[in-house]
Amino acid sequence: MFLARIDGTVTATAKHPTLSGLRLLIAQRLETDGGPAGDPVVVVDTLGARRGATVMITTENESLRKAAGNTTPVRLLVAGIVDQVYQVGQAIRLPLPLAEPSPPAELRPLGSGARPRKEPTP
Amino acid sequence: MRLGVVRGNVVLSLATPEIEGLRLAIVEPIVRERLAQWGRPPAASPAGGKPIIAADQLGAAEGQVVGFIEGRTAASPFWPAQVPVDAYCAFIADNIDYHPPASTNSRKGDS
Repeated sequence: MFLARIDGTVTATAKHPTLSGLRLLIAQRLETDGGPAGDPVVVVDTLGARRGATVMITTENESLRKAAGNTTPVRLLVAGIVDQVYQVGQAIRLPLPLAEPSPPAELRPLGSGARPRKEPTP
Repeated sequence: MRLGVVRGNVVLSLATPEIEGLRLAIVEPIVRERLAQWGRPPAASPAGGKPIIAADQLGAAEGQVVGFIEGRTAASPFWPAQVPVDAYCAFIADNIDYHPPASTNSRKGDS
């Protein structure tokens, strides 16, 4: 499995019969720094990945063979749409900005929860 | 599966029985830089990849863009027969809509 970015779509009328009804997308495999690795590939998508989305692609075609038939000439399948990627020590920047990260939980200002200072006894 | 341009075909005078009569197309894979400028002149400029021979049951004509699968999966359409084919044209592209982010195509040092 590897990470890729969806860069486009392909339409085809003449195709192997097992491909009819399947969405074909152009995906670009990504390096760990988010740069492109190798040439664009055509993948099958059943999840509705949009252009610009970072996806995880599997090269295992057993599920496709079960769904589309044993004779299907397809191997690359969008297995998931990526939300965020982490690497030890650093967060990997995705090629396109993700949804706004949720704001950190509100912190109580320092000292506000502290016990009231004891009034010095006269 | 990669995209490629059909550049011709191959005719065998002698072939193993499994691939006898199979149409074999010469396909030139389209590299990333060329795909990004696809459709712009000159249309006949090289696609950039190393040409390979792919089995073709769709009758792709010279100059057409096909999607071809490589490796073991390329023999799947002949299942359950065992056919010595490692590349297969899965579709002929009608339309390609490709819009990579501008920054990724100026990158150097990758294949």
